[in-house]
Amino acid sequence: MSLLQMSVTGAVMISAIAVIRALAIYRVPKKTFLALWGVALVRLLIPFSLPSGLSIYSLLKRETPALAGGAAAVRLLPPAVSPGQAAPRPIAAPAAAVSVWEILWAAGLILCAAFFAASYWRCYREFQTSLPVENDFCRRWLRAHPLRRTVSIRQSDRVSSPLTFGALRPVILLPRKTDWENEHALQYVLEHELVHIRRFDTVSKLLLIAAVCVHWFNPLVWAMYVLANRDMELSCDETVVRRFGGARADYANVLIHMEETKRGFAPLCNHFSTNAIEERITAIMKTRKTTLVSLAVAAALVAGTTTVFATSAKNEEHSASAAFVSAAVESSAESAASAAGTMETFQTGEGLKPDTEYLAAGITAQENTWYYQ
Amino acid sequence: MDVKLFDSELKVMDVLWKKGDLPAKEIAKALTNELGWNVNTTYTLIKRCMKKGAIARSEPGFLCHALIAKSAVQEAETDELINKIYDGSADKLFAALLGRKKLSSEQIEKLKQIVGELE
Repeated sequence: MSLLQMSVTGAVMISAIAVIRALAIYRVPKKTFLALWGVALVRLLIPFSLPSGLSIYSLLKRETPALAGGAAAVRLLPPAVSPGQAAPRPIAAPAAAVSVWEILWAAGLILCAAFFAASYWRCYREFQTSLPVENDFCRRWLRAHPLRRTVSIRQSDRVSSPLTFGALRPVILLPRKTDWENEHALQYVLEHELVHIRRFDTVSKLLLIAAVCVHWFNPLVWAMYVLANRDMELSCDETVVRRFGGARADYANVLIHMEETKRGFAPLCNHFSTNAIEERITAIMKTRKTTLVSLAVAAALVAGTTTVFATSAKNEEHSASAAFVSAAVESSAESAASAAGTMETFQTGEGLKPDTEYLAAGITAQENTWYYQ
Repeated sequence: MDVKLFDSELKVMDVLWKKGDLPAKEIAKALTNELGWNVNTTYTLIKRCMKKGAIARSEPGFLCHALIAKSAVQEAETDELINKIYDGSADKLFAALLGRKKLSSEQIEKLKQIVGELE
């Protein structure tokens, strides 16, 4: 599966999840969406091809035989680089040919990765200057919630809301202005951060960032980044409410109060827009007990969405078109002289009758429809 | 004092105020013991303080000297507290302090003494 195909199928899946989320977010346990985003992540980052008759791409294939499967991806092919511009590549190693688009993609990836790395580095440096918390309640709380990893609680005047960082030695960082006497609020805050720690959310966020860097050109992947982060928070909130025996209004009030006391200066990382905090409060107030029905619906949603959107079309045409897509991207950078060589780049060679003269003239398949068995 | 020092930087200044001029290495050691900080963290903070004009560096072995006195910081912070929270009136802050009812008899004696000296 080529990057473009992974990106397109990923985008379709993300759209589906976004629709489901808009309809059902308050009706199923939030872990459902974490599972769905997980599947989308796998789809985006791991090049596998799981053919299934139930896939939406099989459906497309059946409905529109000529423009099936590969066509959607074919339309995404960039226009050909004219033969004069591309440097001649050795026929023997067609895979070594690097097109302009690949360079552009690599540049985008490096820029994104650099941006994230720089932001993290800046945050990390501030977190290092945090001060320890000498508080009886915190000491007791840590003793009451042991983990295999050592968790510490620290404070900083540089953060405006509580956060967690560190995967191996997690640190819960609280703002300096925290009311340490308010043990009632503290217990909710600490519990919420503990759930993040238990679930290794730091690692999940890293994977999301990786997906965004690799698919930086795909705006739906950025949408996934925003939504998946929100869903992680919502799921933590849900777990906290459950752990406190369904104390929804209580927890919601604590959160609202914290939002109010947040001062105006820009938080370092992870801060919520009003939209997100509203979503959180609403979700908390609408938390309900997990029933067998909601679990069944959740399972059905995950299984259904995965089967329909994460799989690929049934016939081997699909893998042929995948090879075609990657080959065409590569061959668009090859000069006319290697027209004979472009024949070699087609891996499957099954039922394909590529018109090498077209390719030699630098015309890509954008305007062509390929008919194959 | 026109630049605001953050909590972490104040901790660095504290070491200098308590112990006088020290080489950066010593400051780092003291803060690692007290707060669990990485040595590099302390160095970064010392550099930030230097940029803010709070610490001067002299060369035999990165000797650090506090350019701002603790009293100056205390005064600035108090001024800010009075202006921000007590509507610019110092007696409101004073009344608040007294109103907390947490003063011991020695403290009250001392306060009476200070007021007496001011008259």
